[in-house]
Amino acid sequence: MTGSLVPRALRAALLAAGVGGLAACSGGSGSGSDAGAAVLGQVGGLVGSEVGGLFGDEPEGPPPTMTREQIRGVGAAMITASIDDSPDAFFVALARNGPRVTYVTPTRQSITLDGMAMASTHGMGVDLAGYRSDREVDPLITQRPLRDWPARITRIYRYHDALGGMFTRSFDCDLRWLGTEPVEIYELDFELVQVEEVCRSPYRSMTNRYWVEEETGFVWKSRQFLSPERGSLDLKVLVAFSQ
Amino acid sequence: MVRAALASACAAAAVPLAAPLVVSPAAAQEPPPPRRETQNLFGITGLIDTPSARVQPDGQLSFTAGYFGGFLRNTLSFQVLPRIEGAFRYSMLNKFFSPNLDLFDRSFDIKILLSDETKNFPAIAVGLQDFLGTGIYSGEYVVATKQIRPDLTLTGGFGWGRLAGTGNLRNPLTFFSDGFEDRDTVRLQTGTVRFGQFFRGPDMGVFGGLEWRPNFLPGVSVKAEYSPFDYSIDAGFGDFEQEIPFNFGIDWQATDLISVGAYAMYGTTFGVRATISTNPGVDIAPQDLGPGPLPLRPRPPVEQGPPPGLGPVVERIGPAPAPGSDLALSTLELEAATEGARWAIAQLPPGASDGTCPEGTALDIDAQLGVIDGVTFRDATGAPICSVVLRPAGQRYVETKRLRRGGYDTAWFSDPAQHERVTERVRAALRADRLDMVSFSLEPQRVRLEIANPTYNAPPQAIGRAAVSLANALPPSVEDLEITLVEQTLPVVTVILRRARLEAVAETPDEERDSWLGAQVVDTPPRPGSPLPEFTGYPRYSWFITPALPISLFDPDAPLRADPSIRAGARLELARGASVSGSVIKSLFGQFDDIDRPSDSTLPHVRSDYRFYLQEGDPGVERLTADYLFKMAPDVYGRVSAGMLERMFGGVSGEILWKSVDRDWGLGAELNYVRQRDYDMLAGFRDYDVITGHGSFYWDTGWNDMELQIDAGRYLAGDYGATFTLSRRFSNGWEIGGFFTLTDVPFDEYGEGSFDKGLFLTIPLRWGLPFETRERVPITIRPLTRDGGARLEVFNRLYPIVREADRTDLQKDWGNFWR
Repeated sequence: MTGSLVPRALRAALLAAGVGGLAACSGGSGSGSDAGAAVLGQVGGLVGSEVGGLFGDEPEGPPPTMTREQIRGVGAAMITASIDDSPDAFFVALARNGPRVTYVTPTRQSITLDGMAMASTHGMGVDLAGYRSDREVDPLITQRPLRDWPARITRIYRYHDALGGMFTRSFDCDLRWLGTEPVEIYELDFELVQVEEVCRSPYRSMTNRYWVEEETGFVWKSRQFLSPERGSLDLKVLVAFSQ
Repeated sequence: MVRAALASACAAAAVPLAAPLVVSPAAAQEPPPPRRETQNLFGITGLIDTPSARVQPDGQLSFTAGYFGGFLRNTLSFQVLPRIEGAFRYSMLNKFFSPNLDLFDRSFDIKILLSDETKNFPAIAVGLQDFLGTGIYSGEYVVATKQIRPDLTLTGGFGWGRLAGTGNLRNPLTFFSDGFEDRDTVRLQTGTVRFGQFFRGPDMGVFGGLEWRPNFLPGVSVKAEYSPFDYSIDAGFGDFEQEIPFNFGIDWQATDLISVGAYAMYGTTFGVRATISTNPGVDIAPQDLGPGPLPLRPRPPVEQGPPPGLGPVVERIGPAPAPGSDLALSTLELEAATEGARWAIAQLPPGASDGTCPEGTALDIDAQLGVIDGVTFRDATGAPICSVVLRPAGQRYVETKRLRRGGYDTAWFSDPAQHERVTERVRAALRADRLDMVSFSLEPQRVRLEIANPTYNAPPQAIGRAAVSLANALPPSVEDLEITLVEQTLPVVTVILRRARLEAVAETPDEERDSWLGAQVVDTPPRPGSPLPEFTGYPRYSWFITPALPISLFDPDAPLRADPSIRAGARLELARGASVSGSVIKSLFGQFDDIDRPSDSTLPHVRSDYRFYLQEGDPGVERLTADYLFKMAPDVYGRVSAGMLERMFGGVSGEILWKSVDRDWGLGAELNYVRQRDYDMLAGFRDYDVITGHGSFYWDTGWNDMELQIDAGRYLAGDYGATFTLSRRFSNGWEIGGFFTLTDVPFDEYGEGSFDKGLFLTIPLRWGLPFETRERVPITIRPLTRDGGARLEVFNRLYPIVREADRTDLQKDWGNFWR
């Protein structure tokens, strides 16, 4: 289900784009200014432009990473994402559209989060084109203490078809707590509750996982469904987005 | 890392139940995976040698090679429509004419699914086998198929012609008319539709069988059938014999693309089948690798009060019952000059307004006036009370009124340095998205951008990338983004997008639909001074060297010849629309040198001497032309070409096309004076010349992607007639179709095949590659190359240039806008 779709060398060859196109940035926070390009460039410089996104070539040495000090130095909201046990790719908040924040890598892959729900992606091979749920019920969108999370929720994912149109996959998801566990995210230690979400559509099933701060309901780490072809993305919040 | 102990301890801890959830998806739910049906040895959906009433998924394209007993059948089949399956077959029958002479036969099949399978009734289909061809396999059938258990399917049918076999039953149609007794035996001469033969003959056969799909072997089908075919005709001087009328075998769907089968045939021999099958509507490569679009970053908000003259705006878009209102109105009229919106003005009588907005009355007015986009309520003094927006067109009108009110500073416009910075910023952003800026002009609240799209297969994706580049780069006061697509130097369509609307819908669940609703699609007017050429920014040049693989099909001496070659070309643009371009081809191995079939045509040899061009034109100038493409009006295009127009003819060519982006049909006219080129494909000419030309009608029917084209006029051999082309063009660039030409050349004078006909398909490479490209592979399959109905080939005809940029095509493909 999460197998590689194309050879790594080919995928790496596709990551030739830089950030030269970044220009005026307004609205949002984190890098919400003309500094967007500079911030992305800074991150790219730290982790290396060739491996600044997902699907980079296997590095010869240890995977590039960032220290907490470097992360603070970026001065913007940041997340990481990985897929198929790949090294973490670093995404910087670059735009805010209403409640949704888009995080971008130096290689122009992007993830848009609505709260902590993955709302769309770009550059992932088979992208998530859109996401819909009941905003009032969805604890990923409307943050609330874990005790107030629902037991069941419907998540609707939208995708491109091959003919320029869209189709949806609608999943009914049952949530359950798996227990508290220590989680380290780039030198920060948390005690988080793991919530497992088993989801079923008429033809498919998948599992999301969230590592949640019990009192606030903030999701620091998650594994969220991307597409049947690509599997799930593992997301970690390095610097939370703030208004 | 999940710790098992914690997991088990907390597994039962469920969080409280949520409130009921009501969400409505905007796009269709993922369909169930279709059941894959297997082809038979004829390449049509069926059992082993007989057909079934099953068909392939809509749009499925398959190539099947089947062999047994000295009979090889190569079949290209296509699920033309959900209920119509068509096939073209090239068969080789060993030793048909003599121990040393085989038959190479071309034939067409069609199968129509009359009724779907239900719980109690089977699927029923009717089919015509070899209805257009020599008739060696000519037969008709009515067949039914029913799944009687989840793993077991039963098929049975009646057949005529070859499917009557040795005659199981008397043809029941002969009871109605003695005329049904007569059926020609195989004549091996015609290329016409055998209308007079269908369902005729003294006998009718029965056929049928079982297909078992064991649950424990996914992808495997076990088949047994009773076949009435009589192969005594086909065997000729071969040694194939039938002992029993039964066949048994196994099919295996190895992958989504490939299936194979092995069979025991008629008690005497074995047969094999291999099928490669794909579907234009299913991507075979990941489509979302590579750099994505940058996110659209909204401008900082400005304080905006109600639009002038409208009062507070209330949106009531979507279905809602009219509550019924007894509010009296003094006057009610439609406002003029509302940029396309139907906007009503309703004035209330004195004392009727308490300051609240009468939203319910707006719905009444909508019903009364017959669909309006919004209404403004005014009090007795004419002052606006409020406005109610009922439809998206009303939203755009309100946005326009807001824009006119202003808000963002436009002082930057008087600073030339700002212009330059903005231009460079946009150019760099477009370059990063691999788009070319053709022209760019700024106004305080509007930008006009012309782009050439060498990258994206879907035009809306290019428009979307350009729109985001503009929105992220332009000063905040620029509201209207006017983006024109330029194809081969012709501006083919302009899309006007409101920046505020894009900001409002970006990253929302229905961003594609909402951005389309806010887009205006208009014909691009000619540039100032057009149709005279525009020299600013020119000359430009480009060149290429690429491998090429010309193919020769259906020569009985070698049914498939491929000649690996190298093609080189160059293009020099002297002004906008004016260019000189050409290409040269050189064979690497001379695979066509042994073609020695002389033409027996009694018409001027305008095509049938093709072998001399292949053999002597090596290297040869395929094309060398001077071209001028221009616009005469927003929806009228023109082209003038001169030079070596194609491999076999040179001369002058002129064309005019009328095609509006708002219409699904267009008209064209083309006139050419051409002379036949020397076989060496260099600068010389032969002594045959002709005036040829056509009037053309193009129609995108809007039904199942079907398109119709009719070209009527004079052909290269001087014959008069018309070409009818019907194709299915998918929005991702796949196109599969067929054509035939009828002219005043009688069938017997035309020669073998009776008239020109063929199939064509166009494959977009993007469909199969994990990166963006606009390259497409066109393939035309003509059973025969003759001289009647031969049309001049012009590489830059206008309709193919403009047809993917009209409103219908953009709308179909708009899902790629934010991609």
